[in-house]
Amino acid sequence: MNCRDFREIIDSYLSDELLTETNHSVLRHLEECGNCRGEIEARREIRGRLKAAVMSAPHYQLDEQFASNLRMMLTRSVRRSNAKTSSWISRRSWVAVAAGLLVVFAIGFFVVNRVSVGRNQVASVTPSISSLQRNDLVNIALGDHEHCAIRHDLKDPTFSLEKASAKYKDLDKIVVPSLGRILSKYQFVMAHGCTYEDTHFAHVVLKGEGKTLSVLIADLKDFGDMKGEDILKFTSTKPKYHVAKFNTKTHAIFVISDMDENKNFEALKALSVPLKKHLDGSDQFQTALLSFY
Amino acid sequence: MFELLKRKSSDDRLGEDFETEAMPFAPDLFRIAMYLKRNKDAAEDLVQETMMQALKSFHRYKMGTNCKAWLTTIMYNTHYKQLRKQTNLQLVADTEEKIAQTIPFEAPIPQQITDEDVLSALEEVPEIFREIVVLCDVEGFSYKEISSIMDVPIGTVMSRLHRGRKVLRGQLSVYARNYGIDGEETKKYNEVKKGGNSK
Repeated sequence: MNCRDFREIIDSYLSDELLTETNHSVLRHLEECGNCRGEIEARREIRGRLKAAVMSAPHYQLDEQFASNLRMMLTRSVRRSNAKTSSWISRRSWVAVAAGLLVVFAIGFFVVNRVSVGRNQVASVTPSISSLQRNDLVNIALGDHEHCAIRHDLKDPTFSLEKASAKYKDLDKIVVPSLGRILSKYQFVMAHGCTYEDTHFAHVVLKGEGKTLSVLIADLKDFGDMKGEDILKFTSTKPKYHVAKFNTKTHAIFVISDMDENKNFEALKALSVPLKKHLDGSDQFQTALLSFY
Repeated sequence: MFELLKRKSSDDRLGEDFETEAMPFAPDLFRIAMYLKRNKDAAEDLVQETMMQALKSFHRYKMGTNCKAWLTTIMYNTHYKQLRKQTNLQLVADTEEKIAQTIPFEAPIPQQITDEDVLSALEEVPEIFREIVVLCDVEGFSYKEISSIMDVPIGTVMSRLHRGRKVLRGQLSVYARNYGIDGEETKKYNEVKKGGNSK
């Protein structure tokens, strides 16, 4: 092998793409030729520098918020897929009923179990990202804010707060004055019950300073594993909204807006005690909120 | 009964496997998407669509094979589909030939050259060569894997790689000259460039 041949295949050698025999020829040539040893080192260095430069470049790094949203979305997708499986099981169980009483009991027991577990089932799908169970409801609430308060294109019609739940009656009369203390320039726009992704919300909307704020309340009875008085903050990237969330014993309360993050969280704080009192009849939550700071 | 139980458990495992097998490659996919889209929002959209497609087809993925290559193939297919929707793909053969005629001589990389210079030099490499250089020299895919990802013959992969690397080295030599490092190879490159420009 001469230097010219060597230069032609030098990169394939570095990529470990040569046949064993050719590799041996390369090695023999390298033993004899100092210039080519220099050349191979130079090319190896270019690769190393290129890889290091790309890997460390800030604009090539995945945004953490985006990664988190992506995980949420994929988890929801898996959940939908499991819901389909669930209905398939239902159909199969009726066939089993026809087959015999014993099978009816067995499959009936199985189906009842599955139905009663409901959404909790999802936790078992992705145990390694179980925290997304909470985030998943956050994502649904975000979707409701976007489609109901911003785009006004919800598929299902809205309904009165009272119809949504006896507990939601006059909710706006609690939410609006509580927020009025810190958001004096915001005006009440609407309050109703609405549905997004099969999840019902009580929804109160305020607008001011060119921004829109939603207070969304969901009953946790369908999300049993999300109970616990946790206080969380999220930011969605596209579009950019800030979300602050806390749980009462029975409900999840979200404040979602395009206000700045602190102001959004201030709004949640303003609502926490009166809503906790209204929905749970207790003010224990104040302690949890204070400990969050 | 057993069959029903088995079905549920299989769905559950799919989600878990996707989480452990595919999700760790999200940062790599984003990097590759950035080479393709040159824009953060578009790159994120591409990663998202790729992951959704991958999840749907995950039952076809063979455990133990190169998951990053599998995901990248899906990403390229998605990217090509988007390109076809946006505009008719231009034939690259002419461009490839023109660039081939102006390939500079090899030049060594001086120590003074920074990461920013390396990235800028990479940007100067024509796109059809750059993406293959990146897939091979940065992402570590084999020629065969790149051929499969991009759906081009392995010979094309090799020739584009050869040309892309040469252009990159040439560009780096321009940066070297800016630092006042005018070695023999750099001089040769500059002469060739001057000659090419005067034509």
